Amino acid sequence: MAIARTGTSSGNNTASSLTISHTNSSGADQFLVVSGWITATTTVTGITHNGVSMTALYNADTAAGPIYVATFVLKNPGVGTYNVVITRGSSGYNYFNCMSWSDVDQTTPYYNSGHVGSTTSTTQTVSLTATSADDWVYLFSGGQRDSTANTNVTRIVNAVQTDSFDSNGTVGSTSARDYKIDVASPGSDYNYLHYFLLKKAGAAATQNSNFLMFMN
Amino acid sequence: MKIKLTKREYVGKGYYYNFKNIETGLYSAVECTEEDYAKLALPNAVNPTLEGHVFTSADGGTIKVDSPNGILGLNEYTEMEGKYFVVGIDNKGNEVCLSVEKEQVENDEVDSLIFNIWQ
Repeated sequence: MAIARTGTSSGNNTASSLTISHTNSSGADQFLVVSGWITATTTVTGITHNGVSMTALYNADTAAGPIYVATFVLKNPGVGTYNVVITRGSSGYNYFNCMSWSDVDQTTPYYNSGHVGSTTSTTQTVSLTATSADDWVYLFSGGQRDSTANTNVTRIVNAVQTDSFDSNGTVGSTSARDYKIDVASPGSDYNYLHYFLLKKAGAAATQNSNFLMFMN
Repeated sequence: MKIKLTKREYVGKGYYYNFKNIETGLYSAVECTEEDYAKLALPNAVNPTLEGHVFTSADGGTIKVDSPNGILGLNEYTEMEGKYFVVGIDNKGNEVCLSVEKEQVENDEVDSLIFNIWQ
């Protein structure tokens, strides 16, 4: 088996809670990621999937301005349609994307994760080294700017300044590879990037170095 | 440029189911109770249904006003917790609800520049 994307969804509102109906279509060893941004009058206080609390990978990331960016993850969410419920302390903007994949390692589903903000770059590049050519990459860009795919990633969910990407297939190499996105309207606005490699089920994970650079 | 606004009375928090029409792709909001909204977070929750539609999302704790559907609509404002909340179109074309100081709204008008929230 190989990693396969099994579901995408998105939602937004101006409220203290947002519920998104998300479908994981099929397959074993599922992995769910919920990424998004909120106005920074409060933080995300929790995200659940089918009543189960998700784990915060990054929360309340902010480089400047009025926005927090968050990514939550969950192993083995199960096949079917279930609700993702995002809760925050008070009303404000909420923009979130959900993505799920099957055949992801359930012990170490992701590795080489990172997060960084930028206010000036037109291109953001993440250089990652996979431990297996069968792994996938996930990348989320959220905040005050729209993002589009440049190199080695495909934009899968395109919402308002809330863009989720993956490699749309295996990374294909255990050498360092650059994953690039283009970011619109640089200036005093900023966006925040969250990223990691998805580990294929059945292979051992090893922590590798990774780095990120900006190109103008 | 000034934008003419309609004032609505704040009546509390709103809870809504959102459905997508299978044929047209248009979205509809149907009000629910706080208790119904909370049930969506339970394990194996049974989602609401609407004929010809798919349940896509729900909103909990929105600003509810005295409009026919309870939603603060475009070019409307309301007072909540000592501030005005105004709905308009930002400079990226998105409908947004902004919190503004009371003095920024005069004679039911607001300066369109307040919606230039993106640089």
